[in-house]
Amino acid sequence: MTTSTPAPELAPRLSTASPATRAWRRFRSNKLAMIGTTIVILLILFCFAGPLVWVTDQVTVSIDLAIINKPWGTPGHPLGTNNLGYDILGRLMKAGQTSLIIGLLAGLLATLIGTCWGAIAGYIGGPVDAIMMRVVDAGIALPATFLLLILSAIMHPSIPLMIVVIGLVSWLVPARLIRAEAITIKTRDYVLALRAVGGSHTRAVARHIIPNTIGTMIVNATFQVADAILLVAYISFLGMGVEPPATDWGAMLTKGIDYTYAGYWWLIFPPGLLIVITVCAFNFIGDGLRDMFDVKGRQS
Amino acid sequence: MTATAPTTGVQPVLTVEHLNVQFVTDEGTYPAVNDSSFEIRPGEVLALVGESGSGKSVTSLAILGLLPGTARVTGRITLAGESLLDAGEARMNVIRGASVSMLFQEPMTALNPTMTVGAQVMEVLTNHRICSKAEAAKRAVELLGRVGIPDPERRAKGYPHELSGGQRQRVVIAIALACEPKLIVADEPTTALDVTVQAEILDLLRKLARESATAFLLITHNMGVVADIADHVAVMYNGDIVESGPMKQVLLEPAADYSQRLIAAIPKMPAAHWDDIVTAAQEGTVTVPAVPASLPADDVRPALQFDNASIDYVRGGRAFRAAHNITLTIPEKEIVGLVGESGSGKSTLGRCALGLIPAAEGTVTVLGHPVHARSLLSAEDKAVRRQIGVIFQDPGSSLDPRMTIAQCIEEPLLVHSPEGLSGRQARQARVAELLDAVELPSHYAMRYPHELSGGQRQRVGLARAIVLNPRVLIADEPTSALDVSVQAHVLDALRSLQAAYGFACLFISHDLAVVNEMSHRVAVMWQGHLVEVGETASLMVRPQHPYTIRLLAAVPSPDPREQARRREARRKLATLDDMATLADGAPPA
Repeated sequence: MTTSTPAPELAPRLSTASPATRAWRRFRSNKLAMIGTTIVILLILFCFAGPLVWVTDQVTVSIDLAIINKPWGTPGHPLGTNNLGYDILGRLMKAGQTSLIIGLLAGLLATLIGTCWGAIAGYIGGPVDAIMMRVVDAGIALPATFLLLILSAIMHPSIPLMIVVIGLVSWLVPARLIRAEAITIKTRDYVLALRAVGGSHTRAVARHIIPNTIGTMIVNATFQVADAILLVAYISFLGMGVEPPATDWGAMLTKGIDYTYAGYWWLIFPPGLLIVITVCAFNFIGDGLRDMFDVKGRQS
Repeated sequence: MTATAPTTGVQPVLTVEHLNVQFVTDEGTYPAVNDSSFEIRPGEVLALVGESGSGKSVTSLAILGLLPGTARVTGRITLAGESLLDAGEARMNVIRGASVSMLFQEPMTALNPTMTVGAQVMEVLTNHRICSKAEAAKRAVELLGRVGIPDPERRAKGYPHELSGGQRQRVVIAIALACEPKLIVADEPTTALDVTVQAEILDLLRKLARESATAFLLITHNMGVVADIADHVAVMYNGDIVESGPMKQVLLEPAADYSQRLIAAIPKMPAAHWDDIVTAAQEGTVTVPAVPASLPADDVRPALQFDNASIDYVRGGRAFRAAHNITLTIPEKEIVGLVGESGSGKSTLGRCALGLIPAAEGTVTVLGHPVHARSLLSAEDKAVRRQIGVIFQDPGSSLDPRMTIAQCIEEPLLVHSPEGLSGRQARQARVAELLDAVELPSHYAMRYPHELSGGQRQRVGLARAIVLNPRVLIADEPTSALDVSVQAHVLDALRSLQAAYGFACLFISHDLAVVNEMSHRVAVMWQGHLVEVGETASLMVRPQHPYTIRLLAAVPSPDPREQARRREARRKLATLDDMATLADGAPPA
């Protein structure tokens, strides 16, 4: 055995910025992601703080012909009114609340279920994995829209019901993604080291597998939110959404479609545009987050 | 700093003058190579040595014009009178392959798995329009024969996956040689290979350099490889060439401070009794020694014991036996080295001791208690596992990237909540104590693994392994992924911890020199069999089993004189038929 005085190891080129700062910098460098974030913040302000500023009655149906079906630019109704006399601008805010709440919570629920299901299937592997993933395959084979329509037809669609149902049909794709990650993570040495000292499977999944899929999880969650908002819009457009006087952007589209040939474009364009903008914004954020969590993009 | 070139009249093939490379990132500019100059003459091998981050690979990529767009290169690189930095991309495409070619580290990824071996050699020839297709096919077979591929006509029609790792690297060499380039840049050409295969490839490179006018730029971190084939050496550190000169001079009498420390950090091996070994082999008195089944002395307690253990891997319903009837004892407070090449079953044995793979036959016991590889652990199993610590090879994957260093180290405490260490403060105190024991500053507790260097991470791994004060430590290639000077630090840390805590250690490594420095006894594995066990001091100078002899002769020594003796011994042993059959043939009964 020798006594040597080895050269000092080259110190890692530690950036002075903390990991969080660097991740934020990477996110910020994606212009689309920043635009997406700004749009989502503005939309949330519009839908939730807007009604405090622009107070309108969205419950009482008006039969006053002087109030209904006013075109855009009418004093007091910048975007006009619909056939029941509701102010369109105020209605957009109220409908947006429904769309955003359902979208965010359903996306979150789908991500939660999908992550747990996928992590457990991938970690255990073997026949358990095979059975759990066949369940996912079977679920993907069922058309989600069809399932939602039937449920809406036999039950009274309310916001909590919509959240649960959309959450329950859209966890399948995240489950597949997370399972694929879990399979690679479970062979990492830190999981083996935990098993070697006698750590439990629960600990391996909860403390090592799931936290290490967080990148995939969050990125996927943003896409889930966008998908859920679209799904709510489909259902409502087909007339099976939340019941009046509650509404959402999809329902506004349906109502407006009857008047398209009359040239009342202000009934359709604003909600349609908001759906497109919201879905795009969440997708942009998803892309930005993917850059942020991309290990290969980590310089130094 | 300028490399001193030998004063011969021959014009150098490659001249690098005042090369500077800087990388521009969004966090500023940092230098990778500073003012480097060197030259290589025809038929010479210049070894560019240094540790990771020293700039040696960046230098080679600068010569080939393959640096990424973020690099700023200044200086002059001249290949046979032509300035490479002024040549455009189109000209460089002609130069690459025709005048300069490259040998990569990993032969599997350097070859296209969907093309036949012959077609890949031909492709280089036809791409550069050196000859017609029919001519190229003939040349390809010739080249494959020249690099020592047996039965080249048949092999040329085969695919890369049908070849062994060493043969694949030979094909890569054949491709590099195809256009008879003036310069071959070899970036760690043997690092991915086992030592016995490495020795064959080095012999080939040596032969090629001697008989052709091709110059070799060899990039390596392995001083043994340098001692084997290099004529000149340039030592790089932090972007600077700190020393350069003839190989023997640099390796035996290093002048620069860094070279001295680098060479001092290389694990040493004693000079083996090659004359005795070769004589015994020539007289045919080499026999397969019986592996001692029992302990050398009866009074020591076994900490870890394999009793006639066999281990199977089941894949697709078929079992593959990875270890056959292993009987091995690791006494308390002793380090036993386990060496072998890849696929020999040494890591499998370690994982079996950890209870990660079950033993198909026989038993594995820790302090007299059997180790079970059950999915759901009983309280008894957990108690056994408390006695075993583990440290793995890859510092990049042995720590959870989303946990702080403190969380990584204290995890075994949370699993077992041992008495006196169950409270939060007690755990924090234990983490601080262990960080101190592995010589890391206490504020690292709040850092994340990716903020640490490889050596520091491996020391955190050590701290985690001994946090429960285990009686047995399984170290599976703990320093293979580290640079030599870092390796020396980590080995020192392991040695002093072993002295302080008195655990027994199964030290698994492919590196005989490291095992020689670390262990009291050595066990040699080959194709799933334990072929020889002995005291380190005697096994390293006078191995008994033909495979151990072959292994020892293949390990390149950083001492050029010892390396010359090994090469000679290897040459003599290769001519003996019975040695070859013993070492290549069927595993021992």
